[in-house]
Amino acid sequence: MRVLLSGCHSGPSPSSGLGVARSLREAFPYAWLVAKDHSVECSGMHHEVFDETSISRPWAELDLAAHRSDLAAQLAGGSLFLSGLDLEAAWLAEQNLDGALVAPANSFQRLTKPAVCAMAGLPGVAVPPWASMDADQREVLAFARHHDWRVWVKGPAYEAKRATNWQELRGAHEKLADTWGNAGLHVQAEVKGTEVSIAVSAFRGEMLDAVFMEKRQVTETGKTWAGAIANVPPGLLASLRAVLGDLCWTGGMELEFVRDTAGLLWLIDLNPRFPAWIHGATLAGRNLPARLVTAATGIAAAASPVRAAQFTRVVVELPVRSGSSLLPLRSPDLDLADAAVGKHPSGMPAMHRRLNASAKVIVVATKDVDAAWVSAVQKGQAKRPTPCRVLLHSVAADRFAHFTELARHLTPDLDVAIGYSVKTNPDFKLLQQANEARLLAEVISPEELKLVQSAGFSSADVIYNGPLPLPSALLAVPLRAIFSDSLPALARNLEHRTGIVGIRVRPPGVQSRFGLDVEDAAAFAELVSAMRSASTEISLGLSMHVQSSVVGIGRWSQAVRALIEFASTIEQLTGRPVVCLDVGGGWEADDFADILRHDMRAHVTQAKNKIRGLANLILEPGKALIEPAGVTLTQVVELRQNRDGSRDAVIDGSIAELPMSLARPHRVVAVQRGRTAMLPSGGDRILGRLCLEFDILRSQIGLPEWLQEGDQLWFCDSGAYDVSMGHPFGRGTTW
Amino acid sequence: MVRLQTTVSDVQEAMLHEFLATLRERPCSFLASHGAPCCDIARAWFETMARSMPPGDAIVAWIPKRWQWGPHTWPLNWCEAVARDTLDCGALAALAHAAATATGQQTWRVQLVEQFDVSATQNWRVAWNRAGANCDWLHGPYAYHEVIATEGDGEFSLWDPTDCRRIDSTPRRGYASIAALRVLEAPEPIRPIRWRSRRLEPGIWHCPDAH
Repeated sequence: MRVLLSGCHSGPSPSSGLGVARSLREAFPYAWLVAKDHSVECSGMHHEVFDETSISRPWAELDLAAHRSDLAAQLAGGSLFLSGLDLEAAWLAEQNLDGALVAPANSFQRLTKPAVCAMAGLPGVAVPPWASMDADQREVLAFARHHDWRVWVKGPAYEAKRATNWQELRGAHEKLADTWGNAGLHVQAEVKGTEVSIAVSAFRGEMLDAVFMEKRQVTETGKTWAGAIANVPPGLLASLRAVLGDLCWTGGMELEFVRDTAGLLWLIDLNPRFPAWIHGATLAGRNLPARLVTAATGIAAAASPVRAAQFTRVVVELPVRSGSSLLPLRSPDLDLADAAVGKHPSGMPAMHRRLNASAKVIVVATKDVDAAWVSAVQKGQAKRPTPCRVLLHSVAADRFAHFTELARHLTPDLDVAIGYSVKTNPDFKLLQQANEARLLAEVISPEELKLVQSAGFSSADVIYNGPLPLPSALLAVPLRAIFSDSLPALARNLEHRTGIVGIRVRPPGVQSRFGLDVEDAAAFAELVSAMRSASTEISLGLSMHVQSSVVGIGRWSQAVRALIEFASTIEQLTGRPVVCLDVGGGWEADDFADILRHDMRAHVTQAKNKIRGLANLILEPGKALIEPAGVTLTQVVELRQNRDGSRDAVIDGSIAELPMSLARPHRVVAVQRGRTAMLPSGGDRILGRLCLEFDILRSQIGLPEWLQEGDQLWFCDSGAYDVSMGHPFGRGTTW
Repeated sequence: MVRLQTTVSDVQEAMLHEFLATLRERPCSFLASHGAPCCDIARAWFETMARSMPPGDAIVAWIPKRWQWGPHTWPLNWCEAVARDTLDCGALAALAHAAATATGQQTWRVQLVEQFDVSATQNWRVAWNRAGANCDWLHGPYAYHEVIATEGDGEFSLWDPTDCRRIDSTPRRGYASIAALRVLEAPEPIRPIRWRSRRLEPGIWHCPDAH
């Protein structure tokens, strides 16, 4: 019996070839085992378990038809081939080679990740939510936000990188795209739990055996280093048996899960081959590769005794096989993408790019733009040259009215008000509009206080809430409320003020430089002491401002729940009512209405139940209030055609006018005389005017065919921090 | 060789029973209170922290991150416990149980005797002596330990707040294996408690993997 085994690399991220070979050697001592791979860097091929090696040229340069013929010749004498490489297995399935122990080609289509539709019906199994990286970047951003920025960017067959913010997500995407190409990249929600796997062996649709493995040690990249073997739960086993029958599966397979605390198995990966740890199952008396070879050949396998139900890995040095000397190290000057060959010595990235070379870049149609909105922006621009900003005051007025109405309907039991964060956009007319709409003004400095007063705000409608303590000269101003950022500032305010006096708190689990850290027991005790001894003319308040767009929607809600718990405890410990809560969100504009309609209702109910003295709730939505009211108009000054077919538009705007471009993608409208289009995702970029490497305003955007130099690109949703944090960099002036 | 192993095993078993005899009246560790605001605030702070986190996070994430395992003297009051950076297994189990109670989760205190080797327990003895802490939790190769249990489908699942990991539901032998365990309180209403499919009688030391 001669068996070719591929996927022989056995590094920190090993393939399965060596483990399968060791299991087959145990079952078939006289078998002739051939390590078949594409580089002498595949370390496992030097193991003595192999009788022979067969090294093909790298996948990037192979003539696939000739390679097929070579394989057919090698298998002609009755040899078997077991692939240990996902992509090779899929390719092999299409070759109809006698002796290749592989499933039919159409069954692979039903296992495409991340959906893995063939496994959809398995009991107690679910696939974590995911989104294609081909989707509009704002949709990807919203996906990450809705999953609390606990997401993974994943390659089509291998590799995943964690992302906790937009920059990391973009970086991970670019890195994976460099290695694997763009096809099949996706972002998937992280699931907390224990990592477990199921390995199966099947022949022509009949499941031969299956084992369950719980990881006991993992490498830095999450690869198994030690594990415990057990039986697959009976209900799951029966369903899996049916699925394999339906797929007419032949070969090995690994299903990788995260088991959550409720016992649900979240399918995070599926590999159409045996796992690299398969010999660990053999050591537990479950030789799955041997079962497969026996089923294919009828040759009985020697029994694999049970040595232990648990296995671990070690690092051992092997003599390099004579005639397969190792190559010198690659030049350290190679860029990272090329160096990845050493990480994937079997050449899977090259194979993936090659097999997907014909995959078309998904072209998403541009979306229409509301004509009245276009007209309003053009009217706002008047004759001003680009780059320029247009503030749509009618949009601001509508949003002020809408959110005030939604807030008013939250509860009849509390005085609920919306606070306009002046720092997000201190435009004088906007402030006047906010005042007319009965919004409160939240200020962080004496200058902002002066500004809102001149815009018409009564000081009783102003909240002071920033890290800069209010100067002594202003302590007597009768503000609606004042919140301090530290215990010393609180002590000063408690001593010198009346009315609502509070402190900003940093809820547990929130990374921030602001507010009192309530995780510090001693600081909390000091807070209780200070509040308990406050004058009876003081009403106590607590504030919490956490950016929902940064921490995610779920974690923001958790922070509010924590704030309410602490407010309740402070009431109990001080015997004083907590009269006012000021909660800030830094929400994305797209999220805020939904937050008010749904999540906030639950928070209000919890607050009313837990904080007996609560009378005032101030919601400070931050940028969500006015971001959609601003548009930044730029002009295309140069269009560059790249070798890969993509285009770069260089504009007269930059991150100086649009600083928030670094944090998240703006929606962009292309404007030519008589035509407009909201730009979809694509392979193009918009580059800024500055000599800064990171002055890239959008990537993965689809520029329309008709775009020309001189046309305009409008950056939507730039009515908040893009305005207040913009700077004159590169304009020949100083601050 | 077989004879020698038998002898070693017999000696260890005798030591274990000797140790269990000394632990017969030992209650689970508990945090005391000065009966003053210092302890009232400390306890209220701790319970509020536990309620401020997603369900279960206080036990599996916060407590192990906030407090390292290490020696201290007993009795220990709430205000002292929250101010310390290190706590022993009894205090950590007491905190985990308090966090569970504060969040409406039912847990039980479980006492264990774990088997290590003499070099390990000698090393701990040195560290505990240096800190002026009691070493009555060590005996030969054995160490007294405290964990908590949750119940599901009539079966206990053990969580070790010191080591921040679930205790294997399959038997283990050798270093760090469980030589004996005891649950002091029975679940209410009274019902059988099982662990590793064995019935546990409240108040009785059980040797789970004894043959």
